[in-house]
Amino acid sequence: MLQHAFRAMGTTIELAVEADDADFAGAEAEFERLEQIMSRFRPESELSRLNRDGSLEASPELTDVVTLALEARERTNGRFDPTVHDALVAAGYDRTFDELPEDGGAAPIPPLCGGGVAVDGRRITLEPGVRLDLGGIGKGFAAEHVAEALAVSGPALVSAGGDVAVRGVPSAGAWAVAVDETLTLGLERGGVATSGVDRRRWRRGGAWQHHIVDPSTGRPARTDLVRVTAVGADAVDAEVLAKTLLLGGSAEALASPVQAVVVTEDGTTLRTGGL
Amino acid sequence: MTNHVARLYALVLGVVVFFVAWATVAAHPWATQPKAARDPRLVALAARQHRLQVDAVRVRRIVNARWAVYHRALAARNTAAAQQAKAAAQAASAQVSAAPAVRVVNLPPLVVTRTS
Repeated sequence: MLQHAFRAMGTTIELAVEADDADFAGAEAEFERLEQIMSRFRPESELSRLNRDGSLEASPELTDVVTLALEARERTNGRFDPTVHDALVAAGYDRTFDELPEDGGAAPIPPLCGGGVAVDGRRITLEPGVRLDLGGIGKGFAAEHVAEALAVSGPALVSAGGDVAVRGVPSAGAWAVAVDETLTLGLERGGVATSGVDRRRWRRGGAWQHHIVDPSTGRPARTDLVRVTAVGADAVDAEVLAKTLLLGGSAEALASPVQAVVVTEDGTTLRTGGL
Repeated sequence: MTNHVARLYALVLGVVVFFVAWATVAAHPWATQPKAARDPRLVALAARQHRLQVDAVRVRRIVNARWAVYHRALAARNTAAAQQAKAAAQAASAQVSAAPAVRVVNLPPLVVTRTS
């Protein structure tokens, strides 16, 4: 099993391919290219230009990700929403997580989420005042994209900071993805993603903030779940499911048919969807 | 002199008479015309045969047109059925391939999923 790890998109990217040779350099380059398209922290990225100008003739990749994000918003009745950019910035997440100060001034009143976004062919247009954040879904998209490319060499896995995409089944019978120290999932097909409020935290005015914004309030979500690991049709789907279940809370997660592992505030780990 | 002229006229006249007689015989004006009147039963039979031939052509044309319409409809139905079957197979295949396959395992972990 060939393995390779590197930093991209503000997280660690891990690649694994069951083959004699794999184009890891090409995979790194592809992550870099996609980050240059989807990062909101790079002023000259396509996403930054879209957020700045309000309209853009976008690349196929940005068009695809925005379309997927809007479909997810529709499917989850707005619980997953890519228009949380300004809410994240208001909460203090205005630079890469590595550059965030531990504490800062009190977070201002958050702006509303859910503004209009139109995709017409390659033309993406934002309602005035609307800006997009594609952090989580962008990683899932990139993981899927690169997994597809690596799969020409053999069964492949790509983990973009925990957003896991797989292609093919390795000789071990499944891709072993650890959820915690005691639980490992064997993934043959689909994707896995984790959303949680226990990491990527910072303080504003002494109050803890985190990066999972509830679009209905524009503030970092208040939920009785600490972390959700969801299994989806692919990494993008898993990312959407994980975030949606996290915002829905434990009661909703336990009643959900989605295969997931949820960790509650008191540290209890529960499995849902017959997992 | 007079005799020579008379003979020449006589000769020319003889030649002319000969050719006129020959043309008259060649035209054989004495040949009788075919009998116009035919047996009325044969005439009726011939008319009926003609009508039947016309009707047969008309029926053949109608049958050919209906056959072509039927074939076009059949081809369209077959195409639609094939497309439906293909779509159903694709949907079933997509459903199978889209459904994630996961279980709890005891394998050593390859990666750890965490908040990205």
